[in-house]
Amino acid sequence: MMGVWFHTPALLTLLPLAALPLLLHLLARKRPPRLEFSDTKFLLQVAKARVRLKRPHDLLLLLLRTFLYLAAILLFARPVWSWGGFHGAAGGRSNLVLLLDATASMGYMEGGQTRFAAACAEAAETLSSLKSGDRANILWLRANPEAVYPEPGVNLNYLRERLRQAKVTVEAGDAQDGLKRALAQLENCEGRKTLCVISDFQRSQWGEVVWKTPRDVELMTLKVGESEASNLALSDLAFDPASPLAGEEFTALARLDDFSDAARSCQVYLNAGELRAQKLANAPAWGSASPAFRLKAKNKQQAALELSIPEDAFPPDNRRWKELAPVDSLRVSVWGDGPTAKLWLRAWGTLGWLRAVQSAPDQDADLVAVANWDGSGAPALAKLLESGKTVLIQPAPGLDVQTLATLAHERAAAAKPLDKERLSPPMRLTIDRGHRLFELFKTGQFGDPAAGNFTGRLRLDSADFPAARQVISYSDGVPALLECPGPGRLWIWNLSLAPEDGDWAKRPCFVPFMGELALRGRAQKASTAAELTPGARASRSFEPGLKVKLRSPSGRELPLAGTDTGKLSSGPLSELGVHEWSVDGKTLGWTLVNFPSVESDLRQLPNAVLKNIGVMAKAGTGAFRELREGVETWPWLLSLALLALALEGVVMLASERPTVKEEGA
Amino acid sequence: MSQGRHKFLRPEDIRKLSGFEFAPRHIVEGYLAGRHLSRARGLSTEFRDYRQYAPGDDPAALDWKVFARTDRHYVRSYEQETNTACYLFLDSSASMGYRGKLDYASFFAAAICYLVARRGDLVSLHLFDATVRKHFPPGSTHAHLDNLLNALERNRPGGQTNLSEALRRSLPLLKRRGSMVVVSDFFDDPAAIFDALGPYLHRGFKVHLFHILSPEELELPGEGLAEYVDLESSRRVVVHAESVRKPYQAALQAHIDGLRRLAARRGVDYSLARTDTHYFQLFDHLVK
Repeated sequence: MMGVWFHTPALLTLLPLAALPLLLHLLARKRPPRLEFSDTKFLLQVAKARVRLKRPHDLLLLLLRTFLYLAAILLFARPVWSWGGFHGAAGGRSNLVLLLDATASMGYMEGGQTRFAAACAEAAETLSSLKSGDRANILWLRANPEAVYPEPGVNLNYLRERLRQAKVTVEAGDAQDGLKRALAQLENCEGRKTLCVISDFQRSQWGEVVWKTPRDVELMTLKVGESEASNLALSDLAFDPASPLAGEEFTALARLDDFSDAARSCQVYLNAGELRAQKLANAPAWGSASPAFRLKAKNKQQAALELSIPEDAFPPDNRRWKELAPVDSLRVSVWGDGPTAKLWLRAWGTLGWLRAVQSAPDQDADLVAVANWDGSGAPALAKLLESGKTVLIQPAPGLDVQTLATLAHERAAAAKPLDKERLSPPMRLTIDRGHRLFELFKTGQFGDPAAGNFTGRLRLDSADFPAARQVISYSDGVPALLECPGPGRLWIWNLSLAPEDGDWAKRPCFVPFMGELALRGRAQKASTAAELTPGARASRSFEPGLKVKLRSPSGRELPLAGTDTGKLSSGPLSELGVHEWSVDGKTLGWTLVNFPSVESDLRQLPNAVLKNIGVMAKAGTGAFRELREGVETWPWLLSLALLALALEGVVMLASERPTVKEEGA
Repeated sequence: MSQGRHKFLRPEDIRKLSGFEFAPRHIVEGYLAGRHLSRARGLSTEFRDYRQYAPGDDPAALDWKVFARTDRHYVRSYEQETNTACYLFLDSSASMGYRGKLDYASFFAAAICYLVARRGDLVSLHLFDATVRKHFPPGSTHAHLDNLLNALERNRPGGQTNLSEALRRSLPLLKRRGSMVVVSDFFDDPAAIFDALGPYLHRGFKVHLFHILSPEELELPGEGLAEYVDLESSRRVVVHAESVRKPYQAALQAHIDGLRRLAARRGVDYSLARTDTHYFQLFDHLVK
């Protein structure tokens, strides 16, 4: 909503004077000096030929002169153009809350300064528009939104000082939460209430925000930055397998995202202690590339791998860290009973690099094997899978197939129990030889997993698991081992190891196959739950009494708060990189803080969207002041008046200005 | 010769005119012996040329000395001198009342009347506007001159200009050819004027046109927006004087050029007379 108000509206009564040129024109036309002349034939002849051309000139002159008067009157009335129904001249106390975006994207450099610096300048300018006695507050939008004052205060100088000292974070922020907190600041204020959001309005951060404000709150958005900002970001680093065994080869998979409308090539560097590797990645426009590094875990020692790309205009997301924790043995948790569980434990117990224990599903286990599963503990198993763990399940006869399908993120056609069936004659197996589980068996040295006869099985229908890969199947096509995709990895085991159901467990291939299943059947990606983003608190349990220190990547010692149980917690971590836990100089572990990938996409909300939200201004000197107080239009009026004056002169010079009126004989 | 004081022929004017003589350069036909060459060749002392004798010629006219030298019969011919008639047409329309144009023209007309009558030639005066308002047949006596001068004094501007109509109506009034002097501001269609002059020229009249204009008419008076009232039609025109001045002057000049061009084509003398110059200068076209 736009409006105009006047500093001296009394002068508007002079507006009828704008009709003066017209009146003068009419009066002057009626009373020209009268001259007797011998013959007016030639005068008429000349004037009539020109009147058609000259009349527009006269009209133009009339218009210009009328406009000149109008501009002169309005000039003295001093009109002010205002938006959004804001009338700066209105009296009363003002309350202003500035929701200032301090998230990572505000660190993008534009025109020699960061978006955050521009936002702070705008905020300072905004504060300067307040009168003495007005109240204001600043709410920093970041991982943990924080206000300068508990409620809007009158000390504006302190706010300015805080603006001068403010630094952009590398944190992500919850815009909705920030908006809610900012409105809460204004809730109990009296007088005029204004909420000004100063941000780059990053689409990934603000796109889903619901802009709902009370009626008495004026909402203004002040946008900083350009929408065309492009960025190249490292958004992920994963290992396959997630926890390699010492001496095992593994793959480090990086992900390079291109947030621009042009394909870009970039060298990706991996620094793994003594080993440095680099790969050229070609990321398509608005796409991503996944350069893979093949590495070998030399020993059990933990290491923090650093992934990096050359520096660009937005450096925080150019580095990423990942902790590599090779293990000397894999941990398998076997839950359930029956011959299959016993044979699993026996087989895995023969392998030196694998520790199999019979226990309830263990969060720390590399593989959770559930034998003869009747559907109990399904939520816990689902949670394990969600966190990226590997689960091997042997369904029990009579289990509802829908329960199994739900765990596998499949939708079964209908509820039906899995029946056990006898096979006569015994049935053999068919294996998917291209699967990595069978690489070991290519030479035949470790037997043939396809060998063996089965006389009993569950009637499992592959149609109920359309997304699953049938790694082993019976010769009639019924699945014997299914690999289901998902955040973790779910194996569905339909190979009964009971002696009455077959002889497969007695075959030489059985133990090597179980080893390969544990080793290569693990999920490719580790859970990222252990990774932190800036603003989060690091916590770790130690033996009580240890003098544990936590150092930031820059070497600063961070304060820790402990509990009686020996769990230590830090404050919000503000630096990206490897935070080191140590006791007497000995490293106990790391906490890695990686850039929140949601902040890498620097695209902004379109202006049209912001305009729909409320009053919107583009960042620039005095933009907020203009919005809040309106724009003094007298310089424009003066310019227009001078222009009209100049135009009048031009028209006067260029035209010959006759007006002809024949008034009859 | 006029004895009384006349407005348009003052004693000082008469003195100045004593050095002038009306002498239009063309042959006239007259019935009294005068100073102008007559179309009729015959009894005179002024030799003109020889021509071969033809049957019917007076044998007394034979030049015997030439016959003696050449053995051929030649007859001597002589120029006959006669008196001439001057017809004066004076525009008396309302437009001539502008800035003393009629007075100027009347002074000029009075001087011509005096010069013509002084030589014993005949002078005739036609006062006209849209038609012939007053007509004085040719005469050369003092009384006639007095009548003309009195008529000029009594003459007042009025009516609309229609020179062509006036000329057409005057044609039957002119019995013998002679000089025709038209004094007017010629606010009429040039083509119509020369159409009306056609019969006169055909009859052998020597026509002189004196175009009387005041400097104001040539320049266009007034400043800024002005209302011009036509003296003849009372038509009013409101124009911005400065802005139409040049186009007006151009239009008037085109009119003058048109008159001059047509006059040259038809063998008519044309003179533009500005009222800010002395009318004696106009005699260059008429006197010797």
